[in-house]
Amino acid sequence: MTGARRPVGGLIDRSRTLAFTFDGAPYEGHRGDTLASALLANGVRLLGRSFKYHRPRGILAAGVEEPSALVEVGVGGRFEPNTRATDLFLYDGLTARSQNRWPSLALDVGAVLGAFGRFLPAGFYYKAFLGKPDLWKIYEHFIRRAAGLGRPPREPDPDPYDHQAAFCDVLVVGAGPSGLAAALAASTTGARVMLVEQDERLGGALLRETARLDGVTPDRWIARTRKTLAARGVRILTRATAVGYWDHDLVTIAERLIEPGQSPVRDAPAQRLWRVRAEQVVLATGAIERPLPFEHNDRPGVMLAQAVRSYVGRFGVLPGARTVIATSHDDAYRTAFAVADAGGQVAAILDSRPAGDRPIVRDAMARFPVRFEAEVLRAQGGAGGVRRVIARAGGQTLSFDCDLLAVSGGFSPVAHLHMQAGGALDWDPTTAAFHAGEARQHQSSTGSAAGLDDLGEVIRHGWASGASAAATLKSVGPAGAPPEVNERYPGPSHAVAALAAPAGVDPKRVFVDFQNDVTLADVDLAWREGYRSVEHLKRYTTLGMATDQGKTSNMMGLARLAANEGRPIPEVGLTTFRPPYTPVTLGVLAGHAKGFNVAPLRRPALYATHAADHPLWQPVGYWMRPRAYPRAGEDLHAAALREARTVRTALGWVDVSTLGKFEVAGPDAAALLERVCATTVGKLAVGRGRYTYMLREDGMVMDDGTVWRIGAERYLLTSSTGGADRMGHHLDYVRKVLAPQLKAAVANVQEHWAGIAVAGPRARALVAALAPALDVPRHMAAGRAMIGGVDVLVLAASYSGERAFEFYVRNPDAAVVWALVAKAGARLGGCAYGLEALEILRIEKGHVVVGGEIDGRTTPYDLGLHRMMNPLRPFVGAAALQRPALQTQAGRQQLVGLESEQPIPEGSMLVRQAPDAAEGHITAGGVRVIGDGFVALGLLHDGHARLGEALTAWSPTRARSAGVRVVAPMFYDPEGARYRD
Amino acid sequence: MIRKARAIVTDVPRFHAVPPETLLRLELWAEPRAAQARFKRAFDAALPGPGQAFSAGAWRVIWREPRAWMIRAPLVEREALAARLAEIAGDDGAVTDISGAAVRCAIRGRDWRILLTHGGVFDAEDADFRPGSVAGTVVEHMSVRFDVIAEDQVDAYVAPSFAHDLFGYWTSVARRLEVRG
Repeated sequence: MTGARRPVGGLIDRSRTLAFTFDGAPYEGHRGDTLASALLANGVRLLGRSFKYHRPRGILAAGVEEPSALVEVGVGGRFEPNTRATDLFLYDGLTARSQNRWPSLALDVGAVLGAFGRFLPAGFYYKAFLGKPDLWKIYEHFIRRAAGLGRPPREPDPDPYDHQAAFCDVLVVGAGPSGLAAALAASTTGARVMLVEQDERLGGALLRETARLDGVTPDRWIARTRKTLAARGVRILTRATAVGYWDHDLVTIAERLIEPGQSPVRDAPAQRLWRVRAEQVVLATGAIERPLPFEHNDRPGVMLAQAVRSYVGRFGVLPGARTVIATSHDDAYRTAFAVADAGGQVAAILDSRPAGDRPIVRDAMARFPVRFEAEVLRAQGGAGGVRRVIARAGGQTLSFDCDLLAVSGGFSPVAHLHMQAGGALDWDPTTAAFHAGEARQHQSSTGSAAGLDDLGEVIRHGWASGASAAATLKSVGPAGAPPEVNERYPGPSHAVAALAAPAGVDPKRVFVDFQNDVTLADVDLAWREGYRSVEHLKRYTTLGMATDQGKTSNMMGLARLAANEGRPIPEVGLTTFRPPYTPVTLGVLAGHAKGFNVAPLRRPALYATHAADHPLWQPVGYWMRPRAYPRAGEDLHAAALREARTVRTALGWVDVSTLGKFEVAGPDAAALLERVCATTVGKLAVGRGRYTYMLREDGMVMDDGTVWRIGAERYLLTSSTGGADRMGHHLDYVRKVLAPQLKAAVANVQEHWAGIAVAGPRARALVAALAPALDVPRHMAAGRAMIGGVDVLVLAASYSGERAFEFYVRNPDAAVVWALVAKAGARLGGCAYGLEALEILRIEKGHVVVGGEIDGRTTPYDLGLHRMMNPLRPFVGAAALQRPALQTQAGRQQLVGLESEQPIPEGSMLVRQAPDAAEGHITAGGVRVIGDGFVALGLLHDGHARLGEALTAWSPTRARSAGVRVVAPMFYDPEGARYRD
Repeated sequence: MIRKARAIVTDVPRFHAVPPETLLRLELWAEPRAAQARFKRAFDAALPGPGQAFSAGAWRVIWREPRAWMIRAPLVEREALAARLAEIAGDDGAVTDISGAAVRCAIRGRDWRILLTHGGVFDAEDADFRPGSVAGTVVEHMSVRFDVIAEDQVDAYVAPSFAHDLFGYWTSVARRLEVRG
């Protein structure tokens, strides 16, 4: 059939013609068309090949439930596979292609698989793996080529994606008749209302119906309602699908701002993910029509009855010239009238129910052949579509020539979001459908989603649901009344269950899951092989596991399993609905966080200064810090070693701005620090400091740093970069929970103070040169100086093993001081150094670091820090250290030093001899800065008692090993002589 | 075909990072009534309650957390402000200079509320979030604190290390808001 577009009718904009291509052939459609409706209008009915058997597939539905009409759309980075043609609105220049076929859609070599279907039953993959392992080498190639539906994009997506938050009193999901009525009612109360609709138009089922609402046609009523809602401040989103309903009434909504494959305007986002927090949620998500089980029910030309009505009523397309309608309810009779009124021929209505005497049935019998207690046995035809329908009625076998078979096996209320929200489902045995039952969050379901199918009742129920949701918040009822509905055939559709296949049909030819090619025979086979749970059946057969998540197939498969089991459907159960309701792109989930923006970058105060020197950078958490400053011809190792040697022999300076820093002030500041720190700090004189460390409440070392008394009642506490946030929370916890009585204030000054450390035998000379008026403080003493007009706090502390100072300046002044340090330091033979040199220096000195030796499992005893601690003081963690398990030092991983003539692989295991069991591991390793050989720190079982032992540092994953000697964990100046002038 | 054109953005936000200013933290402990009384005498207004802020001439007093406030002033007034706050705190609290700990970004344009709904989960569109309101939230993993100055201005305080990325993000979002109209 060609030229299916009717000359008039539909809601498309016939004044706007849009050009598009499908498989390279040019076509035209109109504004408001979907790709599916435009292809049907152009006489194209074959859209793709099925996943497993490469069967010809057309269009089954008119919405997001479509399982068959999947296409590739777009080019380059905007390429998107598995796009539903029924959910893709036409735009000028749209490029679409069929998928899962070679070399062409009409002539697909893969279709030969259909002939071998008996060798590809349910569980084929599992059974294949049970064969001889060597066989895998043979069929791996073929399975990998056949696996997967569609092709992934090969280029990066060029478009931006957005995340936005919204809060509302009432969120209405779905803008069909019940959703619109709910939004109308809720909005009259003054509530903040949000209405989201997955279609590009509001109206839902109204877009295909002919009823009158408040005396006007549906499209005029919808337009009027939209205007009313907008005037009341209702936020309306179209092309926005509520894909997930999470705890605390958080609903995520994926909004398409452009269609798949389309280019956005300038750099506008392609899609937006809304995180909506709602006080009340009204789920007006409608219902999905179900196909019927008969042989070759997947042929092109077999369509859902309401979909046919949508193409006729909304898009002005008649999908077939001669139509057979097969149904189990009254609603499909409306399709017969729609087809006939649009100029189509209705060959027959095949109703599975006994004869009825309702107005819609009487009127249909007056116009069309109607057969009761009739059931379709098979659809005959080819890749071009249906040509004949074989049916059975009253014991007779009937044959109807036709090119369109409109089917309806009843409706499945869309309860996905309700179930995602933890809601229960109720079973209606008459219609064989689950619908929303008890709610667990603040959601209610209305309209078809609640199992209703009379338009008037749907709208009244929607109004009541919206009013009820708003009333819980606003304590007022809605103003006005629900819209008046005037239908020619009012009342319910009197649907009955139609999930069982007719007797005598071949189950291998009756498709249940169209997207994954699951047949009734597959369900039967799985059951025979012992898969009795619906969850197991699903995974074994892949029923409902395709991108449509079984929207049209689940109930038919479930019914077959229940029939085999001899149990009612509710007892067999239903698989769990999980987000997302419809497929979402990875781009919209990532939002802004892609490429360089995958995480925020924390730039230290001196970031721009460092960048000018082109260092090698090192990410440290979110921070970006210089790792080394290579000179011409140097690699990382060479640069770091040169920098470290310069520190040992002359002078170096390093940016330490990222360290955690806290000012603690007040008469009880020392008492607070005594609770936080495991070392004694309360007796510090003004202007003095000391090394300290902090424990968790379980006695494990949490962090370390220094504490300085910088005023009579004021201290500065430093901690590690990576642990700064944790230390901030810990200080808050101690101050507000453990010791709220203390008169002490804590301010996080991590970024208030930028820090520059200078180290080396000439560091004192540098300080003297920069601050001539300063009495250079001795080791672990503090002073204040003016350097370049900047107020500088000078702390004499060392992390390198050399005489060293830390300059703390206010963040905006850091660059001035760094420049002066660099200038004066260069004259003294110094250089800047980065984290790599810092690491080499601290390993040699035996300083522990958070994340390395302080790994959350080590106590002060394990790390050899216990001599600084008075365990009788009530600091955090002291009580835990009294536990017997921590009182004994035996059997614990303890800090040791390791020496070798070979490089010691970091992270390697410490074994007596490879491949013995690991007795410890290397936490950090490096080269000796001055002299030959390599050193490392490690945690070793009972390590303190094993000095002098010979072990192997073994890294099987890197195929490296080195013989090591266990020594004390300090390789450089153990007496601390170099700290003294 | 959707290509939406929503004319909902009437005044696309513009913003700029303010040059360095004085930021002092006032924290009170125990029974702060006496200090509160001294503050009221000095400023002719009570210390702002939770989620509140007010201006006193060129100074801005911003609630920060229970019993702690942040006071902003021009850079040249640091010493004067510190002295005055220390006098108010007396024996009941402490004052700490945190000037380098945050960068202020002034966001101007009536649609700053739309901008602030992006990249986070903050209800910037709540009508109760009005001039004099302050709140803290997270935008694209970055901690930020808002202070509503007027219906067409909100100040955002962010750690200097995050400022570059946060302002870059807001720039890109604001540019998209422009093209939506």
